[in-house]
Amino acid sequence: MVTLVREGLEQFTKPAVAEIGRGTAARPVSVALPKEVHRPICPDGDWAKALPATVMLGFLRDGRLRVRAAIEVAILAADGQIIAEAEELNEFGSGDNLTEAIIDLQHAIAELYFSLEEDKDRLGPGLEKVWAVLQGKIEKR
Amino acid sequence: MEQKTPSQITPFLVAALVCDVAAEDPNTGKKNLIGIFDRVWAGSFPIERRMSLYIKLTDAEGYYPLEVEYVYVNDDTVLGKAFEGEFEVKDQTISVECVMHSLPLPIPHPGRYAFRIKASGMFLGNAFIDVVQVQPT
Repeated sequence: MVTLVREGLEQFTKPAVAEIGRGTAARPVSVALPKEVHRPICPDGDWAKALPATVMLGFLRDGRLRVRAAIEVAILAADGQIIAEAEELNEFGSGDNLTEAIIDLQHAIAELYFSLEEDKDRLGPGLEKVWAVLQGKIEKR
Repeated sequence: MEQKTPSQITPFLVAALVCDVAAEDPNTGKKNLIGIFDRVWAGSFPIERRMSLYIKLTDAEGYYPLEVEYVYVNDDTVLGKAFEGEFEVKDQTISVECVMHSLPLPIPHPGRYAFRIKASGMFLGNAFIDVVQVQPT
């Protein structure tokens, strides 16, 4: 049984004033816009910044792997770069924004999984521990 | 009132699609997605554009708060919550569908936008929209 309990729309209360989009492959014939859509939507520029302290990562962008239990990822900003660090796996990813950093980390974790799986019979104690954590968090499809 | 505990079983995001219209057949409950796209062209900014978002999840079991953030990816700005709700599912083999109808979303700049989908606080995936600036004709 599936119950969708509540559906809400919190922030986007303004009516649409432009319909200018096109599908994936097509360029628009015309993109002339009505004047009223040129106004600043958020003149004070006080959009909330989306850099959380942690992200619970529930997917890996790798069709071979499924995240069984979410991986805790710490998010840090350093030298204009965003760092996404999975401390328990001793892996990190980086990028110009959170999305890039997480994608980088996802690739790193997937690579780590397959390389440790290949060498699982000859891992040192540190990597054995990481492999155990990986097996608890990730499974093959 | 009983406080439900969010499930920590990780759902699998089967699909997250942005489209012009998501209509439900009143007789069958089937979803019809019209005008699926992942790119928007605009001559000047800011603008607003109506979009619908369709999400399908599986492998879920238990109670989940569901949250969809609308984010400007280029500088990690959260432009708002496109959706906040909850669902409960008793069997992992059942799929959950969720449709956000015709959201009038702000597009302040060209660049990449994302709907970030989270269930029980777990980040499950994105639906991306690339916004391209073109010269008005």
